[in-house]
Amino acid sequence: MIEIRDLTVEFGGVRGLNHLSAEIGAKITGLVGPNGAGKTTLLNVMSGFVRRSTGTVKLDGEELLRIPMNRRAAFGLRRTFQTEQVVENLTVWNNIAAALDNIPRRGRPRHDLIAEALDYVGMRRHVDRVGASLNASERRLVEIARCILAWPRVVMMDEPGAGLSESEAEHLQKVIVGIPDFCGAQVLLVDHDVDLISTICHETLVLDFGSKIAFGPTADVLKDPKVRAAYLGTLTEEAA
Amino acid sequence: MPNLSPFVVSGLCTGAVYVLAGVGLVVLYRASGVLNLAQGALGALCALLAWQIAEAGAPEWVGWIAGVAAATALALFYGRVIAPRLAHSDPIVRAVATLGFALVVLGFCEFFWGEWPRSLRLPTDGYALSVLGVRVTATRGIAFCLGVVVTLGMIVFLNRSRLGLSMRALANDREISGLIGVPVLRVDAWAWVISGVLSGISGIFLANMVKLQAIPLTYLVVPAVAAAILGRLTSLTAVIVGGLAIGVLEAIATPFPEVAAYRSATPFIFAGAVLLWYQRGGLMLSRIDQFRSVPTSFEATGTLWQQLRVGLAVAAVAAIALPYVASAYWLKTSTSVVIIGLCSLSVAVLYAQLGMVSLCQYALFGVGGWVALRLYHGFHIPFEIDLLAGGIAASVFGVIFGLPALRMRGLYFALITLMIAGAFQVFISAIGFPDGGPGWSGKIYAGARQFMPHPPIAVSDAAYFRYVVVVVALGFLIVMLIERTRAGRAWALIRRSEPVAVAMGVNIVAYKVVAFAIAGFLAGVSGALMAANVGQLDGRAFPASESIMMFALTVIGGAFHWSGPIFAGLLLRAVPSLLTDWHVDGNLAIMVFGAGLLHALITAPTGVSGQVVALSRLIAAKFSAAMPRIMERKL
Repeated sequence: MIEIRDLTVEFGGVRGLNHLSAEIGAKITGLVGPNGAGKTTLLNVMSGFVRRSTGTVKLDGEELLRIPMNRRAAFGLRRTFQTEQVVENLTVWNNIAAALDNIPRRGRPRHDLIAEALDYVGMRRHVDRVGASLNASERRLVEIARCILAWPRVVMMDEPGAGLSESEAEHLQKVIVGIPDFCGAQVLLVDHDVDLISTICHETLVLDFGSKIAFGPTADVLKDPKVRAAYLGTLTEEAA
Repeated sequence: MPNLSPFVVSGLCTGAVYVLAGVGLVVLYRASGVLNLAQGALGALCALLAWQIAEAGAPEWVGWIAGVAAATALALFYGRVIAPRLAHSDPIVRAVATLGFALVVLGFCEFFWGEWPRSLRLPTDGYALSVLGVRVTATRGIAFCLGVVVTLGMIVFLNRSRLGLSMRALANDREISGLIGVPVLRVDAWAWVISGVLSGISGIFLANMVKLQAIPLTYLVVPAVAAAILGRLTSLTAVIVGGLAIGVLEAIATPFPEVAAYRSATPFIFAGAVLLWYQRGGLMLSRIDQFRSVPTSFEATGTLWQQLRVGLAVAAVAAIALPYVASAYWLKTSTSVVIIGLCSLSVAVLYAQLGMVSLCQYALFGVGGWVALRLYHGFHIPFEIDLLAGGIAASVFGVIFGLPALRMRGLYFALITLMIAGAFQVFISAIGFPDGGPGWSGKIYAGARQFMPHPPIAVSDAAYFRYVVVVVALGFLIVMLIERTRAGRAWALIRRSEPVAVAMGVNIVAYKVVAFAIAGFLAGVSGALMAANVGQLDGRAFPASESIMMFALTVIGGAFHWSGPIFAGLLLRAVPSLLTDWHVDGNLAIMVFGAGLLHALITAPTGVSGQVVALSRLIAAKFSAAMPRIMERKL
């Protein structure tokens, strides 16, 4: 459960987020909105890269923003970035091991935890390849494996499907859909692809200019005239 | 308490020259993102050219104009031809590349004009002004007014003119500026011109006020950088305050004999204090979308096991065979090569594993040597303990002084290490290395200097060479093994991207401290090895430029493969010996190394070692492809 209350972020005079409040409880939640709406800003506040001016974020009842940035992964906050971030001079196995180094293992052997995550995303065969030799889709899968290992609470993904072929995107979609069942984590998915969002997200939060303009079951949200206006802009104004 | 006012006034005037140079740095950094560390070298070139032309009998103003024009033309050349090739690199790489440019210009000046101290007279030297009851030459008065007027003028220019507006736009975001129609290249060019003109003018003034010599003038960039750091490399108002403050602090130390010898360390201490103040706000991460500076070349270097096998084989062959074939002189030189290789490894670890640029490793080498010498002369303890103590001391020294910058972005770390190297130069040339004397400094002021011998288990030169090979090989082994541990994986994440590392739970500062401590330890051990190789060390042999050369040659040698630091050792120790044998001016080597650094950063990121490895792979592949055919023919 992610509880966001009155969250505001300011860049100079510009509001990146404007008194945003939302209780995100669905297993997979979409985060959509036009460019500059504040989607990535929300992820960055949660990671600690951007400082809030007001508000709180609670994750499973704990004040997320009070936890030091580099302890949030161990607490259960995991994420991927818009640009892929696989370490090119580490093998696939060591890419995952590097993430596990900073997460408590609760007594499980490292080998098992890494192997399970790689098995789940379907990269077990490639453990010895170096990051530099992976293609775009394999890199995304390695990144997801880094996120889902060892008891995550929330996995945040920033446009994971960008630049993949149709079959690769299908596999990725299956992987994302299965995350809550695999490890019990909530998924927060930022994407522009409305098809993807409407297929896999139970709920969707729509942002525009840093404010919440709609939040609820995905199908209802996407029908909302305000959402259509934000996406299609002037069309409704012209019609009116 | 002595009367300080004459020192304050003269300090203000010198400070104004630092302001001029600092304004050039900031204007250029804001517009183009390049911190031009060649600023001082361009000033030196300008001053020397002006002197040369006046010496030839031409009117003095012709010399000034020609000098400033030359500095400007070179700055523009670099800005238009070389800098764009690095436009997508990290700010650290772009700044470090200008060090290559500085080496080329400095090597040229030294080659052409030598180290002969000259003085550059200006016609205004003959007139005097009276300020606050203190008489100063009109030149100093003019310098002060010019410093203030130029800075204020530049502030107005950036705020009011169209070009200034474009420059501010560029400073904000280059790509968006280009998209909305700011002529990026033209604005860039103007920024280089402004910085070139200011470097020339400040060079002429400083040559007049201090001395006309290429190396000290090249270091003009240090107080300028220190002043710029006060304004986080962007504020011009802060440059005025910083430049004047450094000038005054430096000058008022003169009448106090306790600190007078160390007063040229002022800019280093000033910049260190400023960074200490700035980093209190917490960790500063590099931008998430930033292109990482250090290229990955894992595939070009092979696996750990391959590297280990070949490296250990080469070390074993060298240790056994070299003492039989090399002359006494070359054996000693080879020992130095291997020792310097270990120091270069300390640069390579930081650069290749974490993407950190340290410009103070040769100074840490000196710290290790100092401590080893001091302990040997003081207590005659076993050499191995000297070695360890030298390594630990250098490690602790580096971490204490580097810590404020480890929390900040990489560019600040590079600058603070440059400051450490510069401050070390000032202190060690005043204190000197221990050679058996009394007191804490262990320095003999009357009588013969004592030598530190080789360790008892390796008394002969041949045995000491083998001893050094074993110690250095151990150093390489330790580094390779650490790369396989948790620390090595954290380093790899940090190099990939600092925000990603943090998001994956890495304590960035802690792992950077670990890396810098290990690098300091390696540098310190190599310094101790060198002390026992030569017997003593010379306090004048540790200018900051040696640390810069150490970095440059590590990049040229190749930081990603074990052989890279050894190539760096060869280039730093064997090549100068060869040149002396062949009667070639060593300054040519400096120019070549400067150009080599640029070449390596722009087109050959894996350096000599990467190319050698690629070549040997190619030969092996050709050979294995040809083998079956040869075999067939024989059958």
